[in-house]
Amino acid sequence: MAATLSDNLRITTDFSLRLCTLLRQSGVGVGAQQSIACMQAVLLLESFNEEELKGVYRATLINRKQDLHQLNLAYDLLMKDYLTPRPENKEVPEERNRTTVIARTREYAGGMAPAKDEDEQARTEGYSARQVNHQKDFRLVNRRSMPDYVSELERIARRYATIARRKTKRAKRSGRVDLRASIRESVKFDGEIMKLRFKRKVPTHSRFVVVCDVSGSMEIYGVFLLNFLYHLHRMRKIRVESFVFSTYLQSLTKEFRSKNFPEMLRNVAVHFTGWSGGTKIGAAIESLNETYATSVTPKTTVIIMSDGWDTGNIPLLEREMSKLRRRAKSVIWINPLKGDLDYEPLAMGMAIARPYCDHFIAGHNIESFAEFARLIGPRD
Amino acid sequence: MNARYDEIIASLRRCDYVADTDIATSLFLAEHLNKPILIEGEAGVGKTEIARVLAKLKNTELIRLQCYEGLDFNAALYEWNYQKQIMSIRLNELRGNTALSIGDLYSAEYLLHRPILKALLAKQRTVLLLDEIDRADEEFEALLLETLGEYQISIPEFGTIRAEHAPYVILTSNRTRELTDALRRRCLYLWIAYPSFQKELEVIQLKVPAIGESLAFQVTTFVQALRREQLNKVPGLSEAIDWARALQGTGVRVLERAGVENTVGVLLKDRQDVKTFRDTLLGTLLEKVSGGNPL
Repeated sequence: MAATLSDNLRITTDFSLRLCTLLRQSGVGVGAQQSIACMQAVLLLESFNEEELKGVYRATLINRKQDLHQLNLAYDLLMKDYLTPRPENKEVPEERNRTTVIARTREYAGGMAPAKDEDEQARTEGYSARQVNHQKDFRLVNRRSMPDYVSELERIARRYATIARRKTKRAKRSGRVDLRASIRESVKFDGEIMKLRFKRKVPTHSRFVVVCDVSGSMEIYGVFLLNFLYHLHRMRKIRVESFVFSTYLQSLTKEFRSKNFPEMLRNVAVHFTGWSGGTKIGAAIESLNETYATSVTPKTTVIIMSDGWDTGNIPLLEREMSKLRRRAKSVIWINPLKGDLDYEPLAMGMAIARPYCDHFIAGHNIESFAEFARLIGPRD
Repeated sequence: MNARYDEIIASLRRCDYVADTDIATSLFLAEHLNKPILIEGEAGVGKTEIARVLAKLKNTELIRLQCYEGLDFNAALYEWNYQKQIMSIRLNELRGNTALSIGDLYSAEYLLHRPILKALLAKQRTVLLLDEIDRADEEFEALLLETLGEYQISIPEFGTIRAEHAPYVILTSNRTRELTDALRRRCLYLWIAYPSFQKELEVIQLKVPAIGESLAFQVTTFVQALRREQLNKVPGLSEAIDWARALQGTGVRVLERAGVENTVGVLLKDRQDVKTFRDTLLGTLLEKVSGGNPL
């Protein structure tokens, strides 16, 4: 009986260690602490029931929900490998495992994640930044090189979506008195508080509401902006609520939370039926002000992407824009037509809305998206 | 099934908490490996409740730290009592007393215990709940690492305080932002999904015993079906319990349109959702419920 127990234990330990390795290969960061905890748990339980083992692995080896799927995959794969008799050559399963290693796209910026570089390489394989012309208008990008542009946009989104925040910082003369620091300082002067130290609040970062025009005139730019938004969403550190509109406004924040871009596009397509219709900006902004009132707070930056060709009610647009401007922290208008050198905001809707916007930028090529990202990104 | 898990599930059940094996595994391992548990899941599935129930089960104190943006170590770990320090210095001067040294100023007498320190200094194993850790800043997580890994706090002026009785630590997160890997690695991970039909039915019957079997069944079927719809805020288990209570309180015996419409505010917390619900969903969902098949 004792022999069986130790045999089981040996096999289970071996299995667990190989599972750790396999998980690491698939991009799940299993640290030494976690594998140690897993081994301790296996020893503690002294039970080798499959369900219980899986429970232990779930609790100890992974640490985010996204990795659950990877764990199940790896477990099944390894289990199959254990159950099928194989020749003495141990390299075979290793090779097989490698082919199933998925180039994972993590759902977070992961500034500190060691696997990030590998991830990035895996995802942008076969693509070189030099092939992408940053000044090229999206209208002129051909279908074949589209993925390159898309991944370049992703790169920019990732870079600017990482935000560090702190609440207070040491200040020179203004702000609140920092008692703790002052007392600490007074130690130098034998407990006499010679000078006060101050701290100031560092502004917290905005939330974003993105309103994207997907009417006929904007379709091609819309796809790029959607892609850009999608990557901003995935970063999670930035809080974005997304809406699209042509003749009516619809919230698509939830649809943006898909696993990959094509799936997201499919989701968006299924849930929004107003693709490539006319444009009623006024009605859309009204709906943003009324129906989705909670999305716009004094901390919110509203980003509107549209060419300003409005087929709807112009006075309504003016009223709603002014209302929106009062409620939001700032309004950024992205107009791809601005990329044309001799463009002037003469379209009726644009001319009305322009005074209510804090920034007015083009969104017709990668360079302008980078400018946009700088505008919304963290400021030092 | 491991008997030890069964025991945990049964004792949780005695505290009115319906647990599954994953929860039992995590609690069992947390106790024996001395590791914190990081619980993630949708809103209202009973993340915080686990801590409360665990404290009840172990018959110990629950020390709770609600995290928020800008939370720092002064509010979470410890703080020096500056006012008292200043007063001591002044009194000392006035009395011409020279006995007060800097060491005295930074002694236990002047140390204010915030929740984490309090949990470490407790005379028995307490339950420390760090609720909604995702709301705190990323920098704050770094402060926790020492506590979570070693159950100790190093105070520069004072020295290291090590817990005599390591507390059960439970962290919950609603995933409004990504937690750092360093924090995650120190914890056991537990994901709580929306409950299955069986579990939800059991919970509702347990929490609202007066509801009666058939209404509990209908409520569960209804809520389970509602969760599949496209909503801005999907109702969690806690909303389902509240709704069951509301229905029972308003004297509803069988789910029908009027009863549901009156109490919909308990279930849905979003204006748009309520509108869609009233306009389109309610009819189809009621049909499903009256069909009587669990979904």
